[in-house]
Amino acid sequence: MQNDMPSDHELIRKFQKGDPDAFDKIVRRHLPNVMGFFINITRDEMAAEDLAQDVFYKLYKHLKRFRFESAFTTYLYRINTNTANSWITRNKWKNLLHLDQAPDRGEEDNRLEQEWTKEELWAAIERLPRKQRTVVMMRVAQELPYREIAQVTGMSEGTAKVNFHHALKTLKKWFSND
Amino acid sequence: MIDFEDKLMQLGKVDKQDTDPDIFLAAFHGFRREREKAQSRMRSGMGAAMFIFLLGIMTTMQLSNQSQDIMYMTQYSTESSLFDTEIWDLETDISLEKQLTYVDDITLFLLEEDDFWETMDLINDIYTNNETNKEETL
Repeated sequence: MQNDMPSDHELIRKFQKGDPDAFDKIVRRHLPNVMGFFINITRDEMAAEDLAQDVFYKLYKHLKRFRFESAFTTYLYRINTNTANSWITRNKWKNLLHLDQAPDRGEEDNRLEQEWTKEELWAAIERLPRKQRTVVMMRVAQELPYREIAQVTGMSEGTAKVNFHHALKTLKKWFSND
Repeated sequence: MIDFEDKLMQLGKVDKQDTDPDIFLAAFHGFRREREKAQSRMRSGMGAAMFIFLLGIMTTMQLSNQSQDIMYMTQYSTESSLFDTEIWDLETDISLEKQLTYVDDITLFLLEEDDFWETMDLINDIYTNNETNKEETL
């Protein structure tokens, strides 16, 4: 059976020719992933929606000049990661405050405990240096292989691996201290 | 370390969100239009500010040039040579040049009034006067 769904590149070509519905189709296709990514980062649905709007606005503006040299998802992940990094920098102090206000582990039931751990993990990821954080966000949240991470960030595959390894060590240290 | 990595990958996994795309798209296009409007307002505001700035610079330049002129005039006005009092002297006031201008004016006026004979009389008078003056000086 042939797949009738147009590819991202086909939709972008249509959008570049002036079809606004093509852009809406791109949004519908990638929205669940983008929203999921930002909910992980922000742990706040409203903030995640704002960031998702920001990402799609950047896409809307720049897709007209998209040159089809790379996969659309590579482009999208780069915008996602840059937007997330900007948000983290902007909210640095606010996020530090959030860490101080983390709920007491003993008071939570099992489901909430898991939620809290996830929340704590993302708060810890935010504290990582920018390069390590970028690699972790791509590897963990977007499940990108190192080859693609290297392509998106412009670093070599080896550098991406080293950064991820350093990030893992730091995170492990932080968690074992807890 | 591998266990920790597995745990991290499990915990960090993005749970795909079932956000209503229609609601999101409606909000997104509203947001996009607002942003575009704000950007165009900002662009026109910047243009207006730039125009006012350039106008201000041009006015300032013109005013500074004018003040130089004023200074220049003031400098000269302090010198007695600018308004020579010679023009007000009684002698120069009735100079030949002045007289001729006066005669020209009167002649033209009389001619315009169609008073030809009066004009002729005047010219004769002046001629006679000049001749008398010449003889006196001799």
